[in-house]
Amino acid sequence: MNPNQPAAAGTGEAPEKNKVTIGFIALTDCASVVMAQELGLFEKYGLDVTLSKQPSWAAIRDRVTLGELDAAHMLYGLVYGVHLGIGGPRQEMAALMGLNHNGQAIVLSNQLREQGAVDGPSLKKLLDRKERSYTFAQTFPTGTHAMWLFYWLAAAGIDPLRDVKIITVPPPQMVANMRAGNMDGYCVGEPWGGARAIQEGIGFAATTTQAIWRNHPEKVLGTTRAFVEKYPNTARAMIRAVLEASRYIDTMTNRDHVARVISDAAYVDAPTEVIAGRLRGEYENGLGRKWQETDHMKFFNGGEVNYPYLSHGMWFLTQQRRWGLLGHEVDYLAVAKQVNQVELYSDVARSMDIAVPASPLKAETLFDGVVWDPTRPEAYLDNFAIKA
Amino acid sequence: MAARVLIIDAQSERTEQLAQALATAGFEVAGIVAESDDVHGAVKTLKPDAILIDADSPSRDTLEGLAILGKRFPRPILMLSESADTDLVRDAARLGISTYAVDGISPVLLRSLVEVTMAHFQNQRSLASELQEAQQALQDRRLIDKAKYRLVQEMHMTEEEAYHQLRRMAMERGMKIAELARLLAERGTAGKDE
Repeated sequence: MNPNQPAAAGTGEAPEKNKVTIGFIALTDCASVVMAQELGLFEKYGLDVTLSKQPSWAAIRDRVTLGELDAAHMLYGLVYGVHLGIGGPRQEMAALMGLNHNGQAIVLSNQLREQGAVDGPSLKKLLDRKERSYTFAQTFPTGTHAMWLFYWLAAAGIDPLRDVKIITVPPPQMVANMRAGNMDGYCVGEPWGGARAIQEGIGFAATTTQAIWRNHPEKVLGTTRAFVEKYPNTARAMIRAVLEASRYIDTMTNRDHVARVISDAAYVDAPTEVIAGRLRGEYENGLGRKWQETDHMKFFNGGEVNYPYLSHGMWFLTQQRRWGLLGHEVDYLAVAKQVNQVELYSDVARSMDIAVPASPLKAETLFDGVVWDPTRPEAYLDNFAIKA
Repeated sequence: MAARVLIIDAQSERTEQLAQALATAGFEVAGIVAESDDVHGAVKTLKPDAILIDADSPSRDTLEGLAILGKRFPRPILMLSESADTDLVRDAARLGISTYAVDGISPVLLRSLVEVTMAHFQNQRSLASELQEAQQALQDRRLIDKAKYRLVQEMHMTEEEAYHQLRRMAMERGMKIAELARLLAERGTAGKDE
């Protein structure tokens, strides 16, 4: 490699396709994609990128599938849902890298609080009285919010498929729907999570998602497998630019700048302070507890956020299987290997002196004490009492 | 039995015309709801065979949530059949239409649904662009008349002389006469060549 080749600074690999359109949804965790553009990093690595704000995850899926978007900020589970054709068109997909950890929340209505439900166990008690039916919302059926919500409910002994009604609601409509009494709780990402609900006086954060799974995977940079095969250098350049932006965002002194940039109407379109507070780790739950969160939304964490662990993809598969979204047995490891671009990512990360873990499989423990051992996915699934 | 179609769209005039076009083509319009309505409830109650929705509507994700509940709910359609027709759906998407349909609906019927909807949208789009062109032409003529009138007033030219002067100036600058007239109007003086 020639480190001085000008086409793509420092990489020696000119992108095969330099005009690239990347889709994103107006959420705080689109920050690394936006900052890669705003800091001129895509350009630095030879890409001419257009960012395209999308109105829904369905639109992101369709446009990535049809090639109108070359890549996108995507829910981890959505990439796998499309790869397996769950509930829609099937297309072989690729997750280039992780974009963020943490930073989502499960919000319950103030009405539930008045009836004594402030956490999982007390919600279970309320539901057991069977006074009425209860509705909870998530943002996309195969997405991360659905999986956090389902996991959290089930850990409290609430069957998300039988004990409550689940609906899908676009994030900006969550607050209005809750106020209208259409639902009792929801799981969503910032800035629509706890901060907004508390500010609007409609609810409180029963839990953050980092309290469900510390440093959990959330959004990825997704594209099609065909794109990666046809334009590997373009994919590398995207990874490189977003990695550099991720590192910038995780320098905490840069976070106010990041909040100012992404709060713009062209991006998240929300008050800067609502975004900035949570990015700085300033949390409150609406029940009187305020704290400095150390497991706030992370974008880099020494590369730990970005390395596409196979075990993360596999975890989403086990949950999609658990809830009947995936109607048949799959080889979890094989599917994750098809989707997660471990080699491509690792090449880029190493060339940037960013640490790459020794193994793409990592055992982790969630808040209920259950260990996710990626070497035994079937046993992990069998272990759950509540499932489809 | 006619396929029952639900339309989710906020633009009422456009939607009603589409409903008429669909009815004429033999479809039964099960209902029309705005995206601010309870989309989830509407789909569950009306049980449509197909749904037409603005491709840019955030409520599409609500439909996705229903699609995974089972075969009785319409699923997103990106291809009309295994073999071909991706282009048709792609063109529809470019026009801003997304289609959802239940598994049982016949491909022929589905194609017809997409074609009728597209024809309707294309027709509306061309009507809209014709209107825009007409308005532009009218505005251009007003600007040119104004510039001409000022040349007549300030430079004591005949109307014909004024027009030739404008045309000459425009040609020298490689502009359309209307563009030149707009520039002169902005500058506030017709003047001579500088």
